[in-house]
Amino acid sequence: MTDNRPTIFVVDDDEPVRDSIGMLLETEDMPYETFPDAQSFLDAYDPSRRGCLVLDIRMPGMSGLELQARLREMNATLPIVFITGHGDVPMAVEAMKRGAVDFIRKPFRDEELLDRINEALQVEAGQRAVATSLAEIRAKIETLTPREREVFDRVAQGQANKVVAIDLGISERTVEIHRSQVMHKTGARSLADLVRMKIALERAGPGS
Amino acid sequence: MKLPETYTLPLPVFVADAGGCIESVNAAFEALLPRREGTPWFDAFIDIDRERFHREWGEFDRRAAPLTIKGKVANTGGGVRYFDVVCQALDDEQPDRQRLLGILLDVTEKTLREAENLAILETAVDAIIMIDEGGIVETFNRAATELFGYEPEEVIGKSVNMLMPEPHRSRHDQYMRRYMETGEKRIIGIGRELHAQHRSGRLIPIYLAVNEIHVHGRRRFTGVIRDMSEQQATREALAEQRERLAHVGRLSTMGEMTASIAHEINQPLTAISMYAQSSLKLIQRGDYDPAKLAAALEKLNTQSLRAGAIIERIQRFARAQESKRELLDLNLLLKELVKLAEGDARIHDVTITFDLADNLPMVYCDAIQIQQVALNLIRNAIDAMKDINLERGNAMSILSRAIGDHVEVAVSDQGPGVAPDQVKLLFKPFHTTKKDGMGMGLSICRTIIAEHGGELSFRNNPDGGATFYFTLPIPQAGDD
Repeated sequence: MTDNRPTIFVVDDDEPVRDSIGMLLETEDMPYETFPDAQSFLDAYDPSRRGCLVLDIRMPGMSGLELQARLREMNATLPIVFITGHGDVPMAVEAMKRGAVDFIRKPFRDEELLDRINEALQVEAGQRAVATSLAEIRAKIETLTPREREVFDRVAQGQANKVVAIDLGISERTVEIHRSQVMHKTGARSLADLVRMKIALERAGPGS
Repeated sequence: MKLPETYTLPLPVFVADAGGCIESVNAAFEALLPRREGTPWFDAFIDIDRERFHREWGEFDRRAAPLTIKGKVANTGGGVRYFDVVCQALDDEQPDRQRLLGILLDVTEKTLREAENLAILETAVDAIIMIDEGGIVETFNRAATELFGYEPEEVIGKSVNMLMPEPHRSRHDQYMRRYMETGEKRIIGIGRELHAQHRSGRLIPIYLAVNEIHVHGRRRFTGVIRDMSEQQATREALAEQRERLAHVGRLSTMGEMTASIAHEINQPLTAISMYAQSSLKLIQRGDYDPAKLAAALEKLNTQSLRAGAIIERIQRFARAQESKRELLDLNLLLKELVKLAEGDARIHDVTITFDLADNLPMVYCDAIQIQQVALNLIRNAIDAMKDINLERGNAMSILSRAIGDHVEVAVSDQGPGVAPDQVKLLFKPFHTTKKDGMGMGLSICRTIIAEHGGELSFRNNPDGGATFYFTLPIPQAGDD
């Protein structure tokens, strides 16, 4: 490829999902390559190439998380946007802790995916910090009520609303309400944003 | 004075004078009880029943068998030996002037063995009863007393059939006669589970093992009876537990299955969404290759069929659960079922009331499937009320009645009712108004009821809330 633009590498074991994402990227005129499994991507991967990885988290053979670990071992800096399915949020949180830039849940809207990809590419180009500054996050978190903070802590660990409700002894509806308040107050646009903030706080250590 | 004739006899022998003092002894007696001459012979023994001796010795008829009385002797070694003292009159005078010849028979081994046997019998956990050939009770141990509520003296000497309920009570003599005549063993040496009758009339589940024993040419039967009440209760509890687990297992299998289906169905949905949005973009830009667009739409169509196939698979799964139909009482089924829903109801502060028709006709159905349907309706009702924080009420009622040729079961709630825009979608697979619902419940329920030849539907209640009901046909004469 003589093209100097970054490439979107799509790894998903489901052919129609791969193909349809491919069609979307083609429509957007973004260079892309698709792979049916993690191994074939690794085999073809050239660390000198720029771009980002759109990676299904749950795949037969090498899973998305395993591929992420292998890339880290190789010191590959390729940013990863994980695609998750039903009930995979805790796995996605784990992936975020290990450095994934984002995750997106199936089924998703085209803009959602394109936004995530663009952000990942900006990260890769060093044009955008992954996280807002710690001070900024702390300031936002401080606006939360104690209950909202509890909900935030749990949701950002990937707990389902139902689990949070049982944990805190409140109804699921109430969790929903708190959760939307948390999203609003922190300016998070997605669950991934919340996870990112939580991870940043945890990295900063206790006392935050 | 010595007893020359008996001097070398290995059995201890003594002669007492008319006053009861020992006059002479043989060598064996001297060895056992030295230097006793001149002392009352009673004093040689421990625990001897003097009163009985005097009473019986007074009436003693020397032509009859000698009088035997039991006595214990303390050993030099510290032990005790048991003797039968066989008493014989030596002179033909009045009883109070007779001399007495006493012969000591050592019965220590036999006594200890009997005591041991008795102890075993009395401390046995199982009730043990011995009867003779005529069915008359000879022994009745402590455990038997505990089990049946009778004291041994109330039972010994009476027919064992007093411990049995009818019809065995009146047939027991016949059973025994038949065995004596034919030797055909129905219970002897085999053992079986039966019911016994307590003094109070209560029936006790038991395990009875009968053995035949021959002692001294007499035939007797021992019955060892184990109280099975606890085992039976445990067994029943286990069966009930299993039954419940079968429900829960089946329901959770369906839950797990729907979760994995949810995962799976997201694949075609993702692809459909991507194809559709890409195609839309191309069209909006007005710059596209019709062949390419057609190909995308073709793929989109394929994916929607794939999603349909996944739904089909769930429906099949619901159906594939092997259906076992029996003639059942729906009222009973509903009452059992509510045990499963009660916990849920309590947590959400919902009260369940029953309005079950008397003499409800039985219907042919698969108990588990129908309970699954009813449970689904009950859970939906609870959800409907709790979703609006019980603001319209917290009462759920379960009604059963016969209408024409079918039986109807209805579950009414005080929730928000079904919104007009939901009516059409209600039974569509994957349609749900619940945040974490799969949208499969009612769809599967309707399939199950339809396969039973019934109908599942709903109506909004005039005073708010919804009633979901299903019908099942009443089997008609001539039906299989």
